[in-house]
Amino acid sequence: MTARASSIGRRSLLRNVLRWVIFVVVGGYLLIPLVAMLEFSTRETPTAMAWKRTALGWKGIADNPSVMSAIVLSLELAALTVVVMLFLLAPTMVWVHLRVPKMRRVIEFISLLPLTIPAIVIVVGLAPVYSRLMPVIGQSPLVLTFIYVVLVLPYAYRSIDASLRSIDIETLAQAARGLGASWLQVFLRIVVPSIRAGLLSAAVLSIALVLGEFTISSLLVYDTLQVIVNQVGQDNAQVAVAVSLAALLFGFVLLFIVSTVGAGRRRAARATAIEAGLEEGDLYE
Amino acid sequence: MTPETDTAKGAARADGSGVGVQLVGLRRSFGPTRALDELSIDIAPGEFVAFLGPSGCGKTTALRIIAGLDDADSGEVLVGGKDIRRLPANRRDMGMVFQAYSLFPNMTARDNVAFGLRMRKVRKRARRQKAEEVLGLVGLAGYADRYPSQMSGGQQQRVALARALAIEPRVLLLDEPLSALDAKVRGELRDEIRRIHLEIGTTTVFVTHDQEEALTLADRVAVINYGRLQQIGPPTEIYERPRTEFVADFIGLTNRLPGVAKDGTVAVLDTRVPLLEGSVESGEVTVLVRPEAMHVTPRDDGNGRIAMVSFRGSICMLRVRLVTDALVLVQMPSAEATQFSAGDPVQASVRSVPVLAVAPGDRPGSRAADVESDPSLSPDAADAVG
Repeated sequence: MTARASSIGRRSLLRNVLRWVIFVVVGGYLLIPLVAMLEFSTRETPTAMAWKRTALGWKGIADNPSVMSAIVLSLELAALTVVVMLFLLAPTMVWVHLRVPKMRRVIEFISLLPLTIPAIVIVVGLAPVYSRLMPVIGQSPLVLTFIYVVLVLPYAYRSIDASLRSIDIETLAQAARGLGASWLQVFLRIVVPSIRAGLLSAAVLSIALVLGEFTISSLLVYDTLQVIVNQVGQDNAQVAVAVSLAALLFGFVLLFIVSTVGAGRRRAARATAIEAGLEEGDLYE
Repeated sequence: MTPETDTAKGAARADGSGVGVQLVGLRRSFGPTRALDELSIDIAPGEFVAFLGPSGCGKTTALRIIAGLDDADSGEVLVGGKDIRRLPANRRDMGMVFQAYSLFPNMTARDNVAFGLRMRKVRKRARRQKAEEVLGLVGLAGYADRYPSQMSGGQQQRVALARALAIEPRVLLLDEPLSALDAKVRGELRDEIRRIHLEIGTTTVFVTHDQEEALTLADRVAVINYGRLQQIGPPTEIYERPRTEFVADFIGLTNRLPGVAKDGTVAVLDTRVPLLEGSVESGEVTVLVRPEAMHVTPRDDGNGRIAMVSFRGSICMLRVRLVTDALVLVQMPSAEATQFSAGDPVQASVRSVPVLAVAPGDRPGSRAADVESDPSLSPDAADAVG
């Protein structure tokens, strides 16, 4: 009996150790580059390791007007991309799910297509279109929005599609219609709140993608964040690394907010249900 | 299953506030499949009618056409005497409860119930008051602030029912609302639906494939197969006087015995019994006999032997192997059945009740006996006999 208990104890200890080893290895793999970026961006002497730290690299972000304008431009592009993407994709996908489900495969194919086309090909293909459009829509770098909307389609499509599939949207829409709702009311009052997590996730992915995009804006000679980071990096690597790290952290914060919003709702629902004496199975029967 | 009397159910309509619904020659095809084939049903104001049939028979299609969620290829849907085919679903004033849980996940029970009123621009205070009143009607007075994810399946369907009732619909449409629930909750909610209909008297169409639900709930049952109306009538009539082989087979349990029809009667198991309307009236026939219309008496030179006695509380089911090797099911009060045990020689006969005779088919023996021998089919079917 004692030998068996000690064997179980050993196995449990081994499992715990293994868990920690995996946790440390994966955590290190993800965190070490970030820590290294932080370390490099705060070095007093960029060419040598030292204990002394400085915030000059980070202050350089604010001091460098091209960095600041690139940040503002990228944020504007991200916001515009999200708005245009949601405005185009969400109603289309909902309509296809509800009214023309046969077209679902076609829409999926079109939406996923940008994944298979290299950025350089997109630029080569779109450059003549842009050259003709420029006189009409002007030289503003915000025209990049149109390409970015195409670029984020596959990721946004996946997020929204997963959300739509997780609810019985057809029955919900029929129930709402039967209760007197117009199609617009069905979309705004029933569907959008029901797929909020998917829309939010699509928005975050789009923002992250736009903030990190380099190839297209560089080839079309627009000074977005990554293009400027690249340029600044040639003069002052510490500022470039600080900007990159800031952009990464901004993305993490966004992701954290999305996951917290979703998890918070689920936790609250479960807590109230348990308080009400419902079994887990009852909730999802 | 104990079909209630039509008189008792008819009382439900006394204070009914519903409107009449007429389906006239409805046709609907999905590709080569004909879902509805000239379906015509007339539903009186305040009546509770169940559309009953096997999966794919077209009953849900008919309901969806009434609701405006699907269009008929041809035919008319008259509500209160007016053709509503051109009215979109959101302007038909019909309350619908679906088989799948259909509560809006982003709204509390109160907001779900008040949704239809909000669409009708009812003021907030009145909406709230009505929602709580209707939630009370379905027994969920304290659940107004719960989200669907915080409620069990049965509670969600009650809220869905409350939501459909809150708009005071002209017609209440129930599309298999109980089929996703477990047996206990299903029974409770079935009683609730009946009680609420008695209370408010809205014209109600209830779609189900469960004969027990249909026979216990409805004023009239419309049996549908392959998109065609097989028979419509009060539950007792459907059960006791089936007009087609399908209805006799689909509702309850049926013994199939060979007989010879002549002059409005049929000779079966040495007994002559009257024929029901719709029967084949001459020549060799297959006679469809309910287990409770069968009778056995002890007799050494009888026409069969008891194969098995199954105790079911107040009744017993006896399986009798006839000398022809056919197996028949006989239902009798347990007090009478105690004298029998397996192997006893008996004389099986048919009571003098009207029976349906159909053209001789290729299914000898008894569906009842088939069902009895297949445990996976027996519970519902056995209940249906009880």
